[in-house]
Amino acid sequence: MSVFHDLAMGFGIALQPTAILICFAGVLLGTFVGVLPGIGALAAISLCLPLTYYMLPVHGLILLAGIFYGAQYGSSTAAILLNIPGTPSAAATCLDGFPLSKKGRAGQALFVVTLASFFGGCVAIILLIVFAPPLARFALSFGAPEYFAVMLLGLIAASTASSGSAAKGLAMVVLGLGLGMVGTDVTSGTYRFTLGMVELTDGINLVALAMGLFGIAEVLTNLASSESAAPPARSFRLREMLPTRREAKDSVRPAIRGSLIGSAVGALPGTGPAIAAFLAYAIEKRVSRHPERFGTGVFEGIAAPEAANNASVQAAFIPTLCIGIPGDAVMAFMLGAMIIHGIVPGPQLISEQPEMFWGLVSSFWVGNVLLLLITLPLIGFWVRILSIPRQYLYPTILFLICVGVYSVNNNVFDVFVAVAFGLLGFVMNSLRYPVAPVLLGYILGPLIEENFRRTLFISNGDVTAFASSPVSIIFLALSVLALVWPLYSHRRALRRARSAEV
Amino acid sequence: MKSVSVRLGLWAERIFAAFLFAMGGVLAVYGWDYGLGEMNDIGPGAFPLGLGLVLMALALRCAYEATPEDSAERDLSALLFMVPGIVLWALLIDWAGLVAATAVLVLFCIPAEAKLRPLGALVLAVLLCLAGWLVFIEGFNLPLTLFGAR
Repeated sequence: MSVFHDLAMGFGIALQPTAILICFAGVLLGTFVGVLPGIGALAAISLCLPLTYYMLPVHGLILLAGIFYGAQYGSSTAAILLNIPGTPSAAATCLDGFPLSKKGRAGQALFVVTLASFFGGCVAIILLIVFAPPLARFALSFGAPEYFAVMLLGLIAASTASSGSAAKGLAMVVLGLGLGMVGTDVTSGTYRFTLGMVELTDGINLVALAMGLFGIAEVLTNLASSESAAPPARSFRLREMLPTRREAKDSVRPAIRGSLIGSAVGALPGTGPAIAAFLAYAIEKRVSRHPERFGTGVFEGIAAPEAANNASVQAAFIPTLCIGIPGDAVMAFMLGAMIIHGIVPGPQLISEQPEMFWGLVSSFWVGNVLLLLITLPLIGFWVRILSIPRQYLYPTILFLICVGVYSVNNNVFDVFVAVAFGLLGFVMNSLRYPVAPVLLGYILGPLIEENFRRTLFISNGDVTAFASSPVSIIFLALSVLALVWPLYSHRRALRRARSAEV
Repeated sequence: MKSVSVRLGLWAERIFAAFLFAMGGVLAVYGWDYGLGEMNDIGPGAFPLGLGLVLMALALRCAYEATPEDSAERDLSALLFMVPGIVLWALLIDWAGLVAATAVLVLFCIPAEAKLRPLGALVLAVLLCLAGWLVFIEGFNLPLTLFGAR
């Protein structure tokens, strides 16, 4: 079957009225949470997961994916107008977006970032279409050692690639792996860490864990920090948002470079849109003839990171769908959602469930076009969203979390679990422990353990089996590099700081 | 409501590192108890034991790395009121229903959020109950009741 035939089949699913409506709801909600500072895409995705139980699996994934990439579009609005990133991935956009706003070019900046996001998304979808099938065919040759090595790299990279202490990141990923051990051991049937509670025999509920760590904890953290509510921002009409020819020209090449960087970074394990955006910004500054102008409000400084962050979220689906290994916490959650829906992500997904794969990929096009249509003409609406009083917003979020968690199994135990993880997440946020690696570890825990045990079982206990193929050797070497490099750079930075003091 | 501010400094870093160390200990001790198996047939406790030991080592590293500059001021009033509000929502939802549980949740948000006035809270609670009834009970047929009699 040709790619065009597959795409036609995908569009046949994605262009059904129900699918369009669900995609629209997803990108609308994604843009909403992206615009609002303090509420991440993951909180919204975990909030909506119980709703997807009432949908076809492909529709459920279209909804959740729409929230994810919709949030990237929305996050630049607060970054440009208020210097507050709606999501971490928009932090790079603040650097030149807010100075542009102060220069009176906010409307033009919003126009450019929307088009750059759209362009970045399109480039990544094309790469997804081109590379996903061959990668899936290649991954068919993977055995347990290769899966173990790839997952190990994903876990280490996700915990050490984030800013801050590598030890804290690694501790969180190991804590997540430990949480993934709770429940019934699939190999021996032993109950592990269930504390005698029947509710824990199937493990900790994914929705309760995610809503606690990313929903309740975010509300508590936002209320506990002394940051004041966002000041009002002015609205724009579409006509006054059009950039000049010069501004448009300045944005084209950075958007192309940002799209390619974002696509490449997004497909790697352990990365994410924030890393892609900052990398694109740094490279753009390096290739610029006037790097000194960066930070003062230049269009290159917003086009590149915005194209990159949107490209990276689309490209992040490549390893998740083709190998079954998520690159970051959101993708880990998507993987968990697929498993709940009875879908097994991995090399067989494209061949065994082509409607699912191509329907989802085609919906990305639909979603990006919808985002273009709802972002620019409705910019006034999104600006007004920024002024929603938080005294009404946060109780509403807590209400939705309570109902969402309760509805998964119709028992209150999960709500208590969410509260416990909300408290844990609050402490972690306050002490700057990264939260995302916990979720990644929790989801990958059972999978990595299974492949670890299977490798040793097949090789009759020979530990060298973990490095028995070039693929596993490469990924293990990269894992060691990902582990050692942050420690080395941290020590080097300390040494430099000390020598500077002397 | 007067704010309850706490400075989370070095002591908090150390306590959390100790918590992680204890979690590692639990993983290791229980892992040992579940059985380690053989090299060609790994038992259910081997992986948790390994994770526990690694977590204990990382917790020590986190405690060692902690510096006084990491401290942050946190207002705990949201935590002190909203968390009990959620717990009460869970305790009430099955026998008292969505209306009572939601009213209590929003009530507990009043002292946690200075700008939330009683009248605003009442309107919000009514709107949430209405939306909950329309979307979750009528729309998604969730087994929730408005007044608790299922």
